[in-house]
Amino acid sequence: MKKNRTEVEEYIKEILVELFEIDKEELKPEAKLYEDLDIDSIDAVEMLIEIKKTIKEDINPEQFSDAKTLQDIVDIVIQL
Amino acid sequence: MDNYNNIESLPLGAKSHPANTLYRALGTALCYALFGLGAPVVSIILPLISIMPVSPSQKKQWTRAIISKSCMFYLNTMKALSLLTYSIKPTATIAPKGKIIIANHPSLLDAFFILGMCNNLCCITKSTLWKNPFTALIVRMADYIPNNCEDFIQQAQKRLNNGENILIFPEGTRNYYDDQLDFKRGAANLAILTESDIVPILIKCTPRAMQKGEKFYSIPAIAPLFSFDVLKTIETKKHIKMDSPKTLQYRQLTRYLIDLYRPHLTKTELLKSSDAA
Repeated sequence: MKKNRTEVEEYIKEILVELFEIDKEELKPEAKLYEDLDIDSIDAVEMLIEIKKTIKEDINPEQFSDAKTLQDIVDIVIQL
Repeated sequence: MDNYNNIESLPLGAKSHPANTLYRALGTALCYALFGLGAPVVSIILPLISIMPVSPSQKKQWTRAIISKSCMFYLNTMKALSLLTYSIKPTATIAPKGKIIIANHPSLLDAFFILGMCNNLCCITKSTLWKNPFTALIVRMADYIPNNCEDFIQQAQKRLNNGENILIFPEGTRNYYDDQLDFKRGAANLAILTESDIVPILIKCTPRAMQKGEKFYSIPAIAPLFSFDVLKTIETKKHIKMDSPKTLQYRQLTRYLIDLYRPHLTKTELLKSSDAA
């Protein structure tokens, strides 16, 4: 499935705002998930569940284990 | 405590004087030695319990009782040597059931006190204690949970259902100043995911002693007073919006806990924090 980068990025940002009370202005592509956005491992699990709901494709959590920034998440979701 | 300004009424160790400081330095060294000697004693008793013909849950109860009594004995020894004073409110051993016990964390001795004053307590410990030959048997027999455990929530749930209590310091490690209140979300995660209520304990240590980043032999000018206040049990469900995403509930509850502690703790002056930076 081909996905539009801007769309995916918007979608991920929406999830982050909704789940983690993050201001949209803070969501720069290079923002670090753990350090800058205060997302922890339990949060990350919830985020994957949310992503899975929409893209309806199998997600292996390990695919995300190296993701450090917002950009990384967007890249991985595009490639799913 | 309240008459702390009235120096004459204080025990020997509470007066600031060079001879007194020397005395307390020696006393502190003695206590470290005592701790070093006490651990082997426990490690002789525990294998004996482990081979006794009783149920594993009975062994666990005994092990936890030994830990609790040893902690209180150790603290009372320090008190008898005038190295510290303490007050615990309410005075009796608290007996919660299936609760998450939380506390702020100014000092190395916090866990000793809580283990001593609370029965049937399960701790979450560093996973390294499970490999250390001196502690491996204790943490196993007491059925503690290592912090790197993969099914952590299920393990905690099992114990809470069984009426045991779980101790967790929301700060994760000792703080550097009283009103730092840098609570991680782990305690809230645990309370929400296991649907458990929380017993908050407020700790004050005046002056601060055995704090993080301090050499083990550095002692305060006067013997510290530790006070432990068991606050009203928090009904977790009342402080979260049940229909909001879990991730928001964790944050709500964590903020609630911080707000609960803040008014009880002395404000650190701005000067101090800029000194530390």
